[in-house]
Amino acid sequence: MLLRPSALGLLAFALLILILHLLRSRERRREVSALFLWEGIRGDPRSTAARIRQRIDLLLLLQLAALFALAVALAEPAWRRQVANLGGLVVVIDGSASMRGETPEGGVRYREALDRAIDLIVHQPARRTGVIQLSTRPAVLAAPGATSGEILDRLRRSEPTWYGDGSPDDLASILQSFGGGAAFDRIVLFTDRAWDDLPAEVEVESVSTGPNRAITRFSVREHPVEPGAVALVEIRNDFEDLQSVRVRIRDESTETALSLLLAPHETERVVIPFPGSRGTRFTATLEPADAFAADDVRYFALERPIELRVRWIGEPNRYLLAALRAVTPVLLVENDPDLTVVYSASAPAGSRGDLLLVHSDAPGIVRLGDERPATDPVTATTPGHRLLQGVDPSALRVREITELTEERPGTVILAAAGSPLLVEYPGPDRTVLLFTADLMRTNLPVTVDFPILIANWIGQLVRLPALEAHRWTHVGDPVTLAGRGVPLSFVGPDRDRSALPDDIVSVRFSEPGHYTLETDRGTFPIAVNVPTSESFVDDRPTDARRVAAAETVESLIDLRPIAAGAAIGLLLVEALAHWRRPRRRKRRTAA
Amino acid sequence: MQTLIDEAFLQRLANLRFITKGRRKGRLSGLHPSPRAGVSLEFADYRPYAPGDDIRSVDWNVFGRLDRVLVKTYVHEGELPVYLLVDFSASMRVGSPSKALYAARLCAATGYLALRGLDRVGLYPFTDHLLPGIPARHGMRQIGRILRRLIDTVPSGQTSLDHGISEFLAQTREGGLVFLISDFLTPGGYEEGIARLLHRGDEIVVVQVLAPEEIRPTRGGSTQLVDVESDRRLTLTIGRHAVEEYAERLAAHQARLRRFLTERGLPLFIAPTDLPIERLVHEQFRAGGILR
Repeated sequence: MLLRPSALGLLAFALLILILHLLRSRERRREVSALFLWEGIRGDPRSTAARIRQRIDLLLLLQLAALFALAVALAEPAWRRQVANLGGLVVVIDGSASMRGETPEGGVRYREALDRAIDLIVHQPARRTGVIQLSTRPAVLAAPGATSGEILDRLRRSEPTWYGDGSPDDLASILQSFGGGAAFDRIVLFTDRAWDDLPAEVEVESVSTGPNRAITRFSVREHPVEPGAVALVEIRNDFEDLQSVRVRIRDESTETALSLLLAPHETERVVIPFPGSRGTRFTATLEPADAFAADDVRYFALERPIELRVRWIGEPNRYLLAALRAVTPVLLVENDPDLTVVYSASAPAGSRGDLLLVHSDAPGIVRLGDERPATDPVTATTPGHRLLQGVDPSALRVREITELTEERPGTVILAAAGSPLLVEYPGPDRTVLLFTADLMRTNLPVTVDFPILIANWIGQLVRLPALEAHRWTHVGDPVTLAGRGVPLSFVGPDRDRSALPDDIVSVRFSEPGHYTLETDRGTFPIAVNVPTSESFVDDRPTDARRVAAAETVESLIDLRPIAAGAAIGLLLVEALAHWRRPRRRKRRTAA
Repeated sequence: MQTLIDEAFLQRLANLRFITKGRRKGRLSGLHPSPRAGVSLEFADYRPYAPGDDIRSVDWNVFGRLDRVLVKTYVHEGELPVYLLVDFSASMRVGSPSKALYAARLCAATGYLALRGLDRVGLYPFTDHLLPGIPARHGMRQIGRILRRLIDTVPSGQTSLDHGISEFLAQTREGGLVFLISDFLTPGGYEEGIARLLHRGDEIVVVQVLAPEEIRPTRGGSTQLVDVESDRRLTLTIGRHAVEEYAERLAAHQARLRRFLTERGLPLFIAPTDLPIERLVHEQFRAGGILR
């Protein structure tokens, strides 16, 4: 239909074009060398058809067509149709990492979800439309009230995340911020997995998935005997048939590989020796890649223990030093220590940092008094305390106990003969541990619990990373930075360096890959993986939800851009044809 | 130079020589037979020995058989001036490639051929008068001068063969082999000039260059015909009848030209611009006895 038919009056200009065209000389021009040979020749009579054919010019047709298209464009053409109209619509796109996978047809799941969402928004317009991208870190792409242009633009520019699946609670929470699910006629979730416990008003539109195979576990440890490492890889095959695959493990410089035949719907665990590897960043790759390539690669960081800077004051004690070195490499220093150990001495006044006192006192905290025999067994005054994890206190014996005078209240953890044996003095910027007895007058150095006890103490004092920490961090999970020194920056998989504030305690990574944390103590590798829950989504159909009965309204599609575009296109073609015609003639003349 | 003629074509021309009918009078040695006996490999005749003759020229075999002292004489191979007399009037613009370009390529080929045969070559373009030309000289440097002049000369003006030839004769005293290249699309005006060339003793090779559309014009409905030389115009509906009538007139014109030339023993070579120069030279010129 035409909203302004009066503009068709412009077609009257067609008459003007025709008149101008007829007034133009129609003869073709031909240059000849010998006009005398033509003179006196009677020209052929022209048939009516030939005259008409000669009068009809491509340029004339193009000009008339352009005029027609222009007149139609000015007449505001529109296509009227009946569409369902909604009061409110919320489109929820599953933005978890599994949506990066391919559909059985070869498309990307997220792209298919977007196309269907856009189709819904276009063909069932609503007065209020909101768009949510759901994952473990959900995001509002468009709040209700945004224009349809903004909504479509944000949808088209959105990308799936590397995070895991969002939860119904997250969705309910966001819907609440929109005014509650009841405020909308339709809430449609486009997803590749089945959902339980969704809010009742949410409809589910499933995006098709295909079978997958994935590395579900990957860890590396140092070989216990020989130089090198050993990798444990777990692979799951969700296909209906046998799959011949190759697992490739590589560190910073070398690689090893293993070929496998995976049974259908089975999980295979393999141990792959990696002799000679001294790497810290390991990558396992499953070849060939399948429709969800993100879980065919897994990363693992073999973090080595850090060196502990210890200042030793007082008598040397080989048992205690050996126990410390069993926990972590120890470097004895005089300045700038991580830990100060005072053995049978008095801690210097003004000492700073964490303090381990063994049969020693510290001014301002505690003073040791006389010693007396102790025959009673050692008892745990705070059973289950973290400093006693894995330790049996009843196996400890103390021959003499030292009286003490506390200048600051502490927490007694072990006691013997009614006197404190192990006391903790927590503080805002330092922790002090006191073992009151002379170590050599106890059976502690010869018990199996001794290195465990010392490891607990050191872990409490300087918050060491676990020995050979097996790092398998998921995208979006917090990575604690404590115990690694003052954080400075981290380097991402793409080698870009990002600075970190001094007081940061944890970081989250939004993409899988190998990261490097840089602190004043050195560099620490961190491996970040796609959540394993994304590899095998439950794609059974979700219970059908209600579909809102929408009222039908009339919608007009504006056809002006099409008509105007056609007019411009025809004018350009006409100009091109006009430009080419004289050129041809000029070429002939020049020749 | 590269636009007019390519090196591969020149190499294929290397073994060809012009054939001249009469003995050439040039005093310098060339590759054409001269009326004067001289030093060459081609035997001419015997004559009685006269004092002063080179003793080495005595035929001792004849002396043994006949007891007469005879000396052998040889044909003197003289050089031949070759004149390229080319029409550069506006009518030579017609065609694609233009007749002028085709004529220029032909000049380049024949000029090269003559210079390879140790002849002097000169270029004399003309319209209704003689344009600045290149006097006949020896040596391969001459081909460069000729090509530059051919490239620089733009077809324009009207045609007058008689006048052009008249000025050419005034500029060149010595007769030679004249390549007269034109479209000859004038009602007349060439007879006197050609007669004067013959009178001087020049050998003439007439090449008529025509565009294919001049030989077989296409039908084109109502057409304004413009004479490129006089700018006269004629509007005509060119259909089957008009084309047939034109063909008859052209045939009559050609017959008149051919008759005039044949009566004087001159060959006419018709060169449509879609005929490759190589074929014109290798096939038509050789068949016409111009080259061997």
